[in-house]
Amino acid sequence: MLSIRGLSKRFGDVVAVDATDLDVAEGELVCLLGPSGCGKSTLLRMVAGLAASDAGTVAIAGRDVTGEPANRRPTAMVFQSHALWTHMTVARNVAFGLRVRRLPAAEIERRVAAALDLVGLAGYGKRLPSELSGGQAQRVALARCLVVEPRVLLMDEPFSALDAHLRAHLREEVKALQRRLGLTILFVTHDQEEAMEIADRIAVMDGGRLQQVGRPGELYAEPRTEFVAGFVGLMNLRPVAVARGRADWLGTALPTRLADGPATAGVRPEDLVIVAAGGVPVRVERVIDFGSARRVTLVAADGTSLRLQTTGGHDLAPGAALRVVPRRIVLYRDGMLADTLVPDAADIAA
Amino acid sequence: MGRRIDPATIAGWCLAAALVLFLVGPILTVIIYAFAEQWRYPNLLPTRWGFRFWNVMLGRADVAEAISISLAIAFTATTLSALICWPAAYAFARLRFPGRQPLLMAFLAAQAFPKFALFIAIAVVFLRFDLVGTFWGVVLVQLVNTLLFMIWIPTAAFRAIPPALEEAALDLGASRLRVFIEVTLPQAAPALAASYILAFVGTLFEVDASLLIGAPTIRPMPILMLSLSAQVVVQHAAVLCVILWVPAFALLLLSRRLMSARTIASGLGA
Repeated sequence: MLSIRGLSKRFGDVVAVDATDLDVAEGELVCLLGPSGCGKSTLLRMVAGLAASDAGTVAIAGRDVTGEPANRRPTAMVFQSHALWTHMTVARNVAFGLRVRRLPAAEIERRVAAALDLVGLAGYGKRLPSELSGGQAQRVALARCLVVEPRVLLMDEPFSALDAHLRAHLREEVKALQRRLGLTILFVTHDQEEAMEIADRIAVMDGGRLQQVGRPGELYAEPRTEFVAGFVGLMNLRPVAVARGRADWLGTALPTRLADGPATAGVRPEDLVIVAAGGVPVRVERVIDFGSARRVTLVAADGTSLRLQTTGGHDLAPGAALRVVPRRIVLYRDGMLADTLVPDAADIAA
Repeated sequence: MGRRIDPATIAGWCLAAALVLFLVGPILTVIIYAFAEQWRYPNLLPTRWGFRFWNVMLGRADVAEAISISLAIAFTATTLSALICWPAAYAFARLRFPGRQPLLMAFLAAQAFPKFALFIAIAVVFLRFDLVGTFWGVVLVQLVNTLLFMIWIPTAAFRAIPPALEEAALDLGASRLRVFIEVTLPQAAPALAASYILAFVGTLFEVDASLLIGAPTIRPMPILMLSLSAQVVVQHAAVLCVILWVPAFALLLLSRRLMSARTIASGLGA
């Protein structure tokens, strides 16, 4: 439905978006996830036509819209600051796109009522935006977009101005609406939890470049760059040295196919396992008990802080001495995934 | 329970008293004069009150003419100014073009220029074009007077509109013109109306330019007042003063309601 090819944007000397390719299938919700300033909003604005691109193309439903202004593109955008027109009633806000399309008054009225009903605000038409709560205002902004039936719905951090509880609730609603109506959505967020929860696929962005595109679970299981490893989910990242085919992870030399030199090793908290003997000696610093699992902050002899997640019944009081081994380690060189190590008992003993 | 009087309260009262003396005092004197039929020394208040001078003034043909010419000049000059300045203000607020900031400063610089000298220079030019002593001559020179209010306040008002409001409308398919008419203009409307009123009232009371460019054929209210003030019977001028003051004060109150103090302040570059 949406096809982005080689899209680029520079602001002076700064490359905001660097030759980006991305596809969003019909009925799919893709999240653009990244820290602030990574270029995700700029990319979204170029899809909307609100920012001009320097190179590349945007095609929507098979039509190249790169040269078209925002008002001719079949997109609609929900802004972070709901951007409702305060001098118009809710109904008039929602009707705007239909009035622009010169639809008959009776049809406008019918479709506005239907759209407000869809977002759970039936009967709110006569109110002014100043009489709405933050969540209601954002729902009206959503209705204002849905009513024109855009081919692609764009959402630019739509819930980040709301409190956590409301945010989670609206996220659910958007996901439900997207499934029910088969909406195609490109959704920008800096919140990885939000992305994991709502997206069919996540496109992680950093420094104007797409780092990795994949299903939420995929990104967690197979982070292909060091940035994704650190940004999506918790990961114990630390520099390691590779010498003579072995990576030295806190005194444990693990065999790798990597050539000699520096690298970064990543271990997920649930991939650190408590063992009776061998492994790396550590001390328990802090324990967070979630009930279903415990997250433990450990300190190694050299002061390295590690996080471990366990569902086991070990005695984990702060100050206790433990031995841990990594079950699975990913190695990055120059920011890119270079090797995945699954050490066996023999490796750890060595 | 003995209540200590806060020094700040005392200072506040002193300031209030001074303000009354210097601001309200003169205005009150003029208003009292307008209703004084006889006021002999050394009485603190008029010895005879009444509307005699009001009847005289409202019956005079030159007063009626001055009022209508004043309103016509103020309305024409302010409206023309709005047609020129508001689009310019939008450009200053939204568009990026070379020399934007210096140009905006130029309006402030023009405002600081000694007005009388400026008007004399304009009068010399107008003489050549036979504009001196004409209605349009006065309108044109008044236009210069309104520029500051009509550029700076609207620029601040347009700048205060979040770009997302306009982008949302554009994104939903509206043309640039439609976005301006349906979103930008209504959002800026209160501040625009306030700038219009401030410029209108300013024009209504302007003396220097009217005197230099309008005299002797065009005699708006302030000019008539000026000539009346120099006469023995002060009440004529006082009545005229009150006639001008009441609607102007009402308009200024309205403009204050329309616009927050912040918009005014940022309009003036604060």
